[in-house]
Amino acid sequence: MTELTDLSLLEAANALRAGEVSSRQLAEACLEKISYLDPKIHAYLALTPELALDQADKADEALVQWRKNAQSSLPMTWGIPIAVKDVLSLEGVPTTCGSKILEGFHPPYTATSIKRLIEAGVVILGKTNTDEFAMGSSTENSAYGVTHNPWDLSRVPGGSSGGSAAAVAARTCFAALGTDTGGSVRQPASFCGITGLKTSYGRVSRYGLIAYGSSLDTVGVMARSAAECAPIFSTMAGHDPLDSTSMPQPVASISLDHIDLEGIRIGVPEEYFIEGIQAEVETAVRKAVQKFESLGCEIQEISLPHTDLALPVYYLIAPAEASANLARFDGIRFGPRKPSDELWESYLETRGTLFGQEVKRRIMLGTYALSAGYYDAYYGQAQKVRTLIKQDFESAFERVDLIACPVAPTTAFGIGAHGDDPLSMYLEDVFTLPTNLAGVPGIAFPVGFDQDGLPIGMQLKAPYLKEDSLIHAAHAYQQVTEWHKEKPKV
Amino acid sequence: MTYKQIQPPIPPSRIEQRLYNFIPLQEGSLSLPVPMQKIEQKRLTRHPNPSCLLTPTLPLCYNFFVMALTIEEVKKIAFLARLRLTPEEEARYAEQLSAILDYAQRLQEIDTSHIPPTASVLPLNAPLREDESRPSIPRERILSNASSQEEGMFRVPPVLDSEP
Repeated sequence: MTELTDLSLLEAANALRAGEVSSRQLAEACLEKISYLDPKIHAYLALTPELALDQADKADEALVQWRKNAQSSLPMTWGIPIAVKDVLSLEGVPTTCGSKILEGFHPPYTATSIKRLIEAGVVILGKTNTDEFAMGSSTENSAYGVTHNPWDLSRVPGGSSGGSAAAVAARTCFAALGTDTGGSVRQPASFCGITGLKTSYGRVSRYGLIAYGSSLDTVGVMARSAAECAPIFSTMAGHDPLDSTSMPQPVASISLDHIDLEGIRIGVPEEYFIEGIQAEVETAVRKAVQKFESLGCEIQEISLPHTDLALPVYYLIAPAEASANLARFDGIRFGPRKPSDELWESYLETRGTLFGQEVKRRIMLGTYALSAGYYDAYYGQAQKVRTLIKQDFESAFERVDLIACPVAPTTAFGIGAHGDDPLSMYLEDVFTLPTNLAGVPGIAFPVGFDQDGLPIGMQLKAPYLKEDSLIHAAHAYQQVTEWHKEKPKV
Repeated sequence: MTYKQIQPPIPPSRIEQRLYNFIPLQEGSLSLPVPMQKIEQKRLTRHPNPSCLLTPTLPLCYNFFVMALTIEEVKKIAFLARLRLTPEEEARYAEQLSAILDYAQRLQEIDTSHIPPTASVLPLNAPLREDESRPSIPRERILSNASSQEEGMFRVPPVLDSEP
């Protein structure tokens, strides 16, 4: 049964169409793999086997009909089992955002991104682990236990979409949805040796995504290769009237035939190759850039001068927005409540005890940055510097088509390595944060392994709404390299 | 506040090493709470500028003043955010938030007098829809997650007579 889970998403899709395998068999194979691997990895917080098998059976019936009339088109995602990060709402299924304050919460509606995938025949296996409210870079901030990196169980899978990344890397699902607010799809993709696509802000509806930083949140997809990310992305992206920040531009299906990178200009920003990066990470990324050159790309040195300001800007804007977004968690309408006859007592106790440390820290940081007397100096100033960062990308993209850089300064670090030092954890995100501040899309994919056998990822960034350039470039690279085919021995 | 070059309990990455040179940390391990008297020292402290990690070619160590949060300020922020903190948490957050805000001070150096703020990266401006009524989510489903409900409403302790 293990062989079925080793099929790529596209191979599985073709096998389903040919009748060689049924969707139910794929779902059962994944669920069986989860049952013996997940106790070691802890990627999943909730499994939905009845829902999955029910969806698989329906997908199989539709496939039988389709085979009789092969003229009608069937989405590539039909019958494919995927996992979903636990910050996305799935009606009636426990959704916790990795937090105790949403323990027992069953959303009354389904997120648009998931709904569109379900309508395209996808099978939902379960909800994956996440740093609490997507705040973190290691999944250690989950109130339900840390997820272990399948490449080395003593190490983190990255975060905050660590559960999704580990689930895909361990081949317990064919793809997984994650969210990227500051690097949370790309960094775990890099740590787990898979491909993670961060979509442009506004490209995928945020309806049903439990908000962390509303001007930064994006829904992204993680799979074992860029070609496998493409159909998931095309299906879930696009305008949604239920999300007033979703962009009206249509999303075309991304064709993977005849990709020619001849003449594509790739910019390598000097500010991203700094002292402090693990040497093997830099070597692997530079080698990958050379590979792109051999594919016909023109490599240029560029400068994104305000890169070093991205971290302070992000850690003022995101916590500020989070402090507003998390104000709704008071135990009244959802989640557990610490009961009291006094309303104030109830609020203070519920929020004080059920929120985790990192969440409270960011709420406090945000509250301070927005408070009277400090708003202009902190949040206001951060918003202005954000404009400068966005302009850096706009001017760079006048000269190049893509930007290439590392994803994280290191490979997967050990569980507990950052101790109780938040700032050292925040530094993990230095290369991914600017993308979210500018709203542009990015993709992370494996370009090598370090001497401990841990995956090294590289990042490409593209102009706003140009996810197709990212998929094309990453796919072209993955056709001439084998890094993404490596499997962790777990 | 004193600044010490400490040896963290685990081998630090190169980035952590650079950071520990400049960030105030109490003696010993990272995870112990800071004794109260250390925090209540002078609010403004001079210290070397944390060298910008992403531009190591810039000259290091020019001084400027930074704000260190007092326990009183932490209490006030926690209250605004409706968070009950233990005294240990108050001390720890005072230190950690100070370090983060300290790092954010570098934004003050940027001249943004002619720069518009970016509240959203989108060119959209709150698109409107037709004013047509349409069904919403059924009441029972909305109430299904309530910790306490009565007669189709969320049940809460008295609001108006409640004092913090």
